[in-house]
Amino acid sequence: MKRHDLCLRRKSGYVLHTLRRALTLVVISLLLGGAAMYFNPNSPEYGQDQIRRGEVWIDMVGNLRDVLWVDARSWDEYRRLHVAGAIAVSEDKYYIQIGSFLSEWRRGRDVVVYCSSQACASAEEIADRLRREAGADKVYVLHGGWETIVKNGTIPLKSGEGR
Amino acid sequence: MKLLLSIVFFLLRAGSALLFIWAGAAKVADPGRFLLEIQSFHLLPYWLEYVVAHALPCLEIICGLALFTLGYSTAASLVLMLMTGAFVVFLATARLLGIDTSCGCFGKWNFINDFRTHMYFNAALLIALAITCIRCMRLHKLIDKPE
Repeated sequence: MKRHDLCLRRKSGYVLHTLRRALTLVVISLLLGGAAMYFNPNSPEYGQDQIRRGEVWIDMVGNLRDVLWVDARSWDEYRRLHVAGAIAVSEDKYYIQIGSFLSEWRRGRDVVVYCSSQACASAEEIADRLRREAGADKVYVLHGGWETIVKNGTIPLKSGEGR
Repeated sequence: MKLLLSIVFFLLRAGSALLFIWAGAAKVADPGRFLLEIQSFHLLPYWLEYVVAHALPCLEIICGLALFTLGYSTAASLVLMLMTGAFVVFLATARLLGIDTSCGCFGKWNFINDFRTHMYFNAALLIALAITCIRCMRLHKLIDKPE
C-alpha cells in the first residue's frame, strides 16, 4: 500500500474515532442530565414555570434598560404598596391613568407591567394596550406578578398615592 | 518561540475549559432559571427545552473536563464548537424574529447583556476552540506539522 493511502486510512480512522468519542460525551451528558431531572433539588417540575412570549422573569429585569414599572392592580392595592417609581395603570381607570404613563415613558425605555399574581390577566391586557394604543414597543409582563416581587425582596417598595 | 506557542495554546485550552465548566456549573445550580432563558427564545417545543435545560449544562461540564485530557480533547472541542455555533444561530434567529433574550450563559453571574458583545464573545470563543481542536489534532499527528 502506498504511503498516501496509508495516511488517508489513518485520517479517516481518526475522524471516526473522534466522532465516536464526541458521541460518548453527548450520551454521558444526556444520562447525567436525565439523572439531574430527578435528583437535582433545584430542578423545576416538568410543566412548571413556563414563560410566555412577552413575559420577563424577575431576575431578567436587571438586564433591561431604564425600566419603567407599571402597576396593573387596583388603585387600593397600589396605594397599599407598590414598586417604588411604578405608575398605576389599571384596566378600569385606563384612560384616566394613561396620561401619567405617557408623561414618563419615552422611546427606548423598557416597560415592565405586573398584576397580583401569575394567574391574573390584567397585566397582559394592559401590556397589550400600551403596545397598541400608547405605541410603547418594549413592554414586558412580569412572570409571577406582585407575588414574585414581594417574594424576591430586592425591589424597593413604596406605599401611598405618590410614585 | 515553540515554548511560548505551547503556553499560548495551553492557556487557550485551559481558559475555554474553565469557562465552560463555570457556565455549566452555574446552570446546574439553577436549572429553573436556565429553562426560562431557553423558553424566552420561543424556538423549541417545551419538552425539548426541558431536556436541554438539564443536559446542556452537563455537556458543558463534561466537555470542559475532557478538554484537559489527551484522548477526548479533540472530540470535546468539536462538540463545544458545534454548541457555540448553534447558540450563535439561535441568538441571531431570535434577534431577527424580534425576540428579546438574555443569554443565561453564566446563571446569575451573567456579565454579557447586549447582543453585539455577545456575538464578539462567541466569535472569540469559536476561534479559541478551533485553535484548540487543530492543536489537539496535531498532537495526535493527524495534521502534519509544517516543516
